[in-house]
Amino acid sequence: MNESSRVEGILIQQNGEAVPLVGVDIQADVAGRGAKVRISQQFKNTEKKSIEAVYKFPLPENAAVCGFRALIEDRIVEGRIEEKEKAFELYDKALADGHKAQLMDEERPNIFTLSVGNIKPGSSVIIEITYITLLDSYNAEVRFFLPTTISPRFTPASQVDENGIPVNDLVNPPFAFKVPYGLTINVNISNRKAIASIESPSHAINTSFKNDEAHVIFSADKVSMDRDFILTINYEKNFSNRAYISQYHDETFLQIDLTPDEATEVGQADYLPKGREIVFVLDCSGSMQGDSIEEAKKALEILIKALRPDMMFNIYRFGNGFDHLYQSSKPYNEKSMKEALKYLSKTEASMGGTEILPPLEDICKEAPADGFRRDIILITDGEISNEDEVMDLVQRHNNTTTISTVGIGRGTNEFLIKGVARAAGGASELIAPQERIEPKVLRLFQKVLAGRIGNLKIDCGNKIDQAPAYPVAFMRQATSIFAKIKKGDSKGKCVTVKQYDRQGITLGKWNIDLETVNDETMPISKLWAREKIRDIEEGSVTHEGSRQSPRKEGRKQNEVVALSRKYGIISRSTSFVGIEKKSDTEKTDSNMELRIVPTLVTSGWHGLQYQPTILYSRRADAQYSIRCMSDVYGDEPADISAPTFMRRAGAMLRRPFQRVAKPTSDRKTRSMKDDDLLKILSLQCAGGGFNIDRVIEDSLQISHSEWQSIKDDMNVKNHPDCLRLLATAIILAFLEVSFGARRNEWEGVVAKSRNWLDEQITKVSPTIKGKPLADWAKKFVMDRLKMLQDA
Amino acid sequence: MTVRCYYKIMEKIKYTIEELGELTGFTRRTIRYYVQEGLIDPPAGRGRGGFYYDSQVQQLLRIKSFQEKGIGITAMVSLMKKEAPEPVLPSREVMIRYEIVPGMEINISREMEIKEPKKVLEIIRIAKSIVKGEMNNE
Repeated sequence: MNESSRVEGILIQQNGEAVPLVGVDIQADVAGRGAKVRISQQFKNTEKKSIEAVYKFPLPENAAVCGFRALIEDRIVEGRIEEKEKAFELYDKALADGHKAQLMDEERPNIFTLSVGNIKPGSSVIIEITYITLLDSYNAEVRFFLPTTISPRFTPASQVDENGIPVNDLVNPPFAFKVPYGLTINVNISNRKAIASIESPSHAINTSFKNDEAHVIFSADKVSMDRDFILTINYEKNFSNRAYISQYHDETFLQIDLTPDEATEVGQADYLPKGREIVFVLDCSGSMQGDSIEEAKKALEILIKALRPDMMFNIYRFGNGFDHLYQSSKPYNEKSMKEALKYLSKTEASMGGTEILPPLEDICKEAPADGFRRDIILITDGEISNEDEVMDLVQRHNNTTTISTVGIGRGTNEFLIKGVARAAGGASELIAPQERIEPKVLRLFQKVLAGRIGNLKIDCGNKIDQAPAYPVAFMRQATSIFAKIKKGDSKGKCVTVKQYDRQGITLGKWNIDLETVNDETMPISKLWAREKIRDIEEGSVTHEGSRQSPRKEGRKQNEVVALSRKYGIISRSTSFVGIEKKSDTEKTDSNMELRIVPTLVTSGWHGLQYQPTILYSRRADAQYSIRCMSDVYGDEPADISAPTFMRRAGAMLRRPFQRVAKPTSDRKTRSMKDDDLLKILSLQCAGGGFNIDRVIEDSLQISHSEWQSIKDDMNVKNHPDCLRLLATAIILAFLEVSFGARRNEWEGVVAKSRNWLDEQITKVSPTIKGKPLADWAKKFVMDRLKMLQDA
Repeated sequence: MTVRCYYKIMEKIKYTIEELGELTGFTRRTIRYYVQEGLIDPPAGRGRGGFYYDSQVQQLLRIKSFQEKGIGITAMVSLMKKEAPEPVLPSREVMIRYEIVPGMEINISREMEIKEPKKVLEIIRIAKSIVKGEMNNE
């Protein structure tokens, strides 16, 4: 008998059935931004009957799944790619005939279903799945991301069944509060000398070094599969532009890694309009309850304070329905800012399901005002199942509206977050619960303000098939563009990437030398195939809306199947299937019990909390552990010394090392400093400029009387904005001096204050004791900080 | 009725899952899913190698007609639940008939008879005695 209890709209199974999944192990090899990952899922049948085990699990959405095999006793059964329904037929027929078979289907780019048939009583099977991927990066930071459970997806009532099967059953596994299987991991990162630090905001990890590699494992023997695993690797140097060429059989492939930054030839944002309209869209559905909604509100508050006086804005909230601050976007000023903050403070995650389409349709139904370009910033956990519909909509409107996405929560739907941003030419950012939300949100906002570097094309002298066909780059973020050379050998030793505007005029150009690599070590062919498949599946190539004729759909599918089979990468139209034919004596009765493996509900979903784990990590080559996550929960942080083998023999003290010289107190200072930065940023006035506040008084130890005496020394002491001028100059100088290294996080945000100050300086030429205000302020701040340090 | 017809009716037509798919337009995967969810009857015979009959064909065609109307599985299931009214069981009551005299009878429910057997007997005795008494009186 099935006993089930309802928890916030999802059915939790508590039947007495045995769970055939015993454990999951991950082996990952990371080199630079590339990763090759092998997932081993171990199944064991402890029942008296043969079983068919079915398991739904997630993978990173851009993974190129290229390997699938089953280890049964001492035998290996290699899987192969087949068209999806054909693969099922082969699998099903094999089971009907008494053979063993395995099947892996892609339901979404980040959701897969594994079926392992005919597991005899008492026997075990290990399924090995291999994928390769390029990791997200920003400056010198690389993010290794691996989801471990599928968060419950909201399936809108309007969503059509796929092939006669309700989408809910395709994407949502059965959930449970407890499962008998856990996760182990082993990450090997090569070129350890290039690594500055390794951290995990999601799990407690142990890092060790051997030869040229860094090894990362979980601190615990095994962990629950209830949250994403995130590993942040900071390299010593930023990524530079690189270009690679390789041979696969008789075909030649190119991979270009582009990281646009100020120092190199910078492409211009392809369309910087005079007016900007920013619409914030906030997910207030039930699944956001708890940490997620609070983080989202914090993020939004910062963004609202960062808006510029010449912008228009609006805020939408959605769940089952939606509402908005204003009927249509209004100009940003002190008054509307206050109204927005008030609207935000009253926001709760109580709006029910996650219907993302209606609010987006409502915003896009009218074109933006003349001369204005609209940017939507969507903050959500993305836990919906109609990603395709949403992506279609945003693609249809991408010439008037750009959408950038912020994904938050422990089990965010990466495919939606990144897919929507891709379809709309915007930026995306994923934030794990223990990661500081503000720096990433500010980073995203800067990208939105700076605009995208789009319409990039590789020029190598040959005819090429480029994937993605329309890549979009952002400052300081590595973007990879692939190409297959159609005819002839590659002509040159170097390759050019050009950026074009709508009229075809070249806006930017990068020349990069080509390096030859081996396709075995760097499988560019597979990565190209993955991008090409994605372009076709997401419709980016044609840039047409979803209204495709059935014949075109059919042709698209044939192309995907062909690519998938040729390069051995799974797709939405193909599956991996493995069959082990048994002799007549070994065949089993095709009567087997179906066992669907339940998965854990994502920790933090709907505010459900598990035991908070004390999470800590060790910086590579640092002397002790820092960033204890228990800070988040308010407990006393643990102080852990690293074993001696972690200290680099004879290494010169580097800045990161120095910064962590005093563990406990430094950690507290660091987090206080972070808070100071945010507090300061929130002091901005709507029109630009800062007001005096406790936080700056405390940081610089400026007393009330001192302000007064400085003011008296100003030539503009009778100016109504005198104190504001003073505070602004001092605060900007303070940011430069104290947070110079984190300029990326705050520069764009305070641009409006800088502009305001520059304007005032031009108008009234403020001086203090004869010295120009800005210069005086800089000297004042430096002297004051030095004085405080020496004290 | 011809001999052929007779045999066709007697020998129920069996379909493999492939044939079922061809007849109804559903994929193998979808048919398996419907069996799993109890939307169509499971095949007869050995597990997955079993056979399907006209009943499953009819069930599948019915599902198809819903789909052609734009009604998905989830909606269809709840519709079917609403359509089938609660079967009203006819209430049955057993009455025991006692004849007092021809033309006069007392019906007692079995329930009452079991509950108050002495009272019932008393009522019958009195009724009989009244009637007999009157007859005596006459």
